[in-house]
Amino acid sequence: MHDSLDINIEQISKTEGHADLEVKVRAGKVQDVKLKISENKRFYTQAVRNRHFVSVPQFVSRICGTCSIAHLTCSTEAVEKCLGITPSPQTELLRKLAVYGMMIRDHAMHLYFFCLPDIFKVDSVFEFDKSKDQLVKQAFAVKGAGNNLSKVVAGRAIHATYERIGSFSHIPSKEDCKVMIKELKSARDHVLDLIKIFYDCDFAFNRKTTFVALVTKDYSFLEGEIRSSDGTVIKEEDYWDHLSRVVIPYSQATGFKFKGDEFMVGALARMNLNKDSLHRNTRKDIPKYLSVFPSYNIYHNNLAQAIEILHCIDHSIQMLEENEFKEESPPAVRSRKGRGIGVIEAPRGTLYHMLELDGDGKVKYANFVIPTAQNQIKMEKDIALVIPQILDMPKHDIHHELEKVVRAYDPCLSCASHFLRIKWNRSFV
Amino acid sequence: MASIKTILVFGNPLVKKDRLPLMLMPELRKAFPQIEFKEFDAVEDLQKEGKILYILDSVEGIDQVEVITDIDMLQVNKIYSVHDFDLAYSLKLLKKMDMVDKVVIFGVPMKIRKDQAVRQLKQKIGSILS
Repeated sequence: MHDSLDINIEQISKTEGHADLEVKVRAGKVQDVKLKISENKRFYTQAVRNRHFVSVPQFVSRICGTCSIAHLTCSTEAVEKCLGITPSPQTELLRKLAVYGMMIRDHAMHLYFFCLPDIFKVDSVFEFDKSKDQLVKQAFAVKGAGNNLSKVVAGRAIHATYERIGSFSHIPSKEDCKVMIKELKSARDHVLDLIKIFYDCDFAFNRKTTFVALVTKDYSFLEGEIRSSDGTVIKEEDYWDHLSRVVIPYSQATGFKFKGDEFMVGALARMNLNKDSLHRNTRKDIPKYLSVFPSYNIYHNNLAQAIEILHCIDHSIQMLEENEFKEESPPAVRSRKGRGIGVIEAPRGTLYHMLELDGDGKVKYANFVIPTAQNQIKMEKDIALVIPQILDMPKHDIHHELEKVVRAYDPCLSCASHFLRIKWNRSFV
Repeated sequence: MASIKTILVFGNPLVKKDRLPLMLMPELRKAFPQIEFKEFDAVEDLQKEGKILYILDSVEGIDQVEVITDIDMLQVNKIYSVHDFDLAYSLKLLKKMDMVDKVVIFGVPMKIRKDQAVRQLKQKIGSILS
């Protein structure tokens, strides 16, 4: 048992240093926990000012290198609301498919490559023995299905090109849809295996909290009402009124409280609040796993992510089988002064974009609330509460346990720029 | 002599230190019309691009264009989230799974003049083609 302990985990995310964790324990009690997100303040809300609305969704999609489709879609919705544009049913359907593709890939990568090593008690997927090769191949297949779905529907898996204000510039061909259905069906069994692994995992940290999510009738992440586990129902445009910004002096990221208290957004929140809306085939095949929810166990966030992959596959198959896509004329888009709010569910939780445009269609003011900022206060408190339970472990294991808690949240601490770093101990070609 | 069909180009146009490879694409396309220069991201499916990969990316700690062929030289960041799934991680994973035979990375310094980078890249790519 550590009576006195200092833990400093530098660069929790990447080596460029996006988040650090400092923990101070004295006389067996946690005195201080600081989760320092160091690269969250990126001034997009300022950079977007005076840009014309046409370029805004693509511009802000660069906020994130993995869920760029979420930012693209949310921003597009904000512009459309501001300009009074109603997208066609086909456009809404294509958006659902593009977001499903992103969700499948994003969740799959986090679960297979970053969470499974914890479960198999190794540091990384590079340490998997040969017996896990099949699992890694399944990971590539599921990730590939998600990427291909986004590619077929939106042009690219990252920084998609077809999605635009009011419409899509390109529609998937019948042949593309056929190939996609086959690929999704083939990935489905792998996902059932993945769900079982996370269901069987005995990691647990339970703490009662308020969950918040956009509750959609078909669990499609894009429209509906914001609901909380305390029974609050909020219109998308009123979400900001229920949030309070919390300045965290040691963190670049602004924290948020919901109705004055810490809360959680993300897959666990969605599953707790809306599991009855999952696709019927998903509900039919995994009742045992769904019975876990509602849950306060933070590690069930990862089980919820695995289940969401299955739902995205099932609903995508249905939409691709039942629809034939046709060329459509884009709606007329005219500048007008006003304010538009887009709210969608990104992989890590509720995403909010607010844009105010002037009469020339230029952005006068913008406000974005990302999921990890909303989870930050709860994440930090969870870490503080986990520590007393693990103080009898060796320091190295304490580090690992704390990292596991952070990983369970699947945080979005960093940005999209990655530089190659080389160990220069070999000769050049 | 090698035949290069595609060079995958990595970078973020909004990040000064990381955008040069993308900015070089028009001039490289002119210089090598037979090669497809394709904007790419590590979370896309590298394994579907074939078992021989040609890549253009920003590299830390160099002051001229360098060619890197040894995946083991790439340093992998500590992994916490999908954001850490970068090119180095992706290439090492493909190597572990025997899904890649050869990788040639044209490494561009973060601080180099555009015309210098183009000149050096033309020479490096040209020497592989010849």
